[in-house]
Amino acid sequence: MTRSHRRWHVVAWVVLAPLVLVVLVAALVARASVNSGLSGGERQRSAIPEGPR
Amino acid sequence: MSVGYTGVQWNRHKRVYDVVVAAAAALYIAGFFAITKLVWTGLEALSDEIVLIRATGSCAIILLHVILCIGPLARLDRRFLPLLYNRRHLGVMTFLVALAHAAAVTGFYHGFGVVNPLLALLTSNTNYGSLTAFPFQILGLMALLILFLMAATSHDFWLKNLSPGVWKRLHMLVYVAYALLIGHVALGALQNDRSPVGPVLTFIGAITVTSLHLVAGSKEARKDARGVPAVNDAPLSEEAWLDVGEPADIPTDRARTVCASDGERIAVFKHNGAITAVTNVCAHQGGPLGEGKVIDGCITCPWHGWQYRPTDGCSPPPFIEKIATHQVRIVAGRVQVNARALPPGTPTLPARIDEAAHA
Repeated sequence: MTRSHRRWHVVAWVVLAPLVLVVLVAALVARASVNSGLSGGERQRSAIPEGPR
Repeated sequence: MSVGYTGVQWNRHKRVYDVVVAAAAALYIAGFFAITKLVWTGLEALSDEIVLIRATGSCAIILLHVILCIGPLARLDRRFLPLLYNRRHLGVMTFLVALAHAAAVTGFYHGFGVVNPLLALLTSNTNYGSLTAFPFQILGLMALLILFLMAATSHDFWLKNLSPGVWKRLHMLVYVAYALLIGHVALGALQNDRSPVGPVLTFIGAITVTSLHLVAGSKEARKDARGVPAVNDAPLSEEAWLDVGEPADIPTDRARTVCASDGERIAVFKHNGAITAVTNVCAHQGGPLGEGKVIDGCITCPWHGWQYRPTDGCSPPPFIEKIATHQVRIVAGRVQVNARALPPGTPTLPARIDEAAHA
């Protein structure tokens, strides 16, 4: 690889590595299924308003 | 290497590779189905469509992790170099599995209404300000478009037409696709998963990929920082000669790489009792020629096997590729290489080791 390509690789990962990890950690901390105690399907079902069927 | 456009140049090795990769992907999906059906039964049982969506999605993300680990591993340890050879085939396979995942998702979640499924996918959720209800499908779609672009241009025909530099930059978009996919998984599948297995595996995968790239990048940056100053103090644009070491320091049929102070690398080879030098950058995908060896009298790139004659940088007939060459000389028992690259394909005079010893 040329020096320019090597630099781009480094820049890309120096930017992306923290971004990926921050998004991952933030999403895991905010996990709806853990915080609400319901699974995705259960949350979906509980969100359906009760009423005449 | 090719002398013109032909369809994919299949050979036995590539066919075997593709069959093995396709079989492994099929086995993974079948295994995922079997285990899911065995573990989640009764009220917790999942429909076939959901299992297919999860199986293809997880298969695609695993394949992408493997692909992204190959590059830095090959930079850190030569034993991983053979994995680079057919990495593009693995990329196309990843796109196909991801496409199957996208088709299953779009059909299952958006295919039964009156609105166009793709339109429904793009407009049904607009909670962009929420982490837990984020429209993660958009991230997956953007990543899929990047993977498509890469799969469609993976052939050497596009590499040649776009030029290796542009092609390489285009294919570096895979890093953006990876970031999008981690967001897609973290804001999508993991939000609906109470088991710790998915989050832990995703976290380990992300840490592994990012660490490997940062470590490999740091190693390359350290090499670049060790630029060799000219022995005669001349500027690189003129007759600057760089010290390479003694002839015995260069392994037979292999190279020693020196880095000029402008950061570009030169591969200095020893073959048949003579020293020659070429650019370290292969004309194909910029592979590190200095990490290759001389096979059948030709410098052979460790990435995809492209070959060049040591004395003039030309590929052997019928191939027409050329790389830049450098002048070499032996002064007082030390090999020196001229930092100025000669035009690709320029013949150079090899420095004979025995003649230098008797001088």
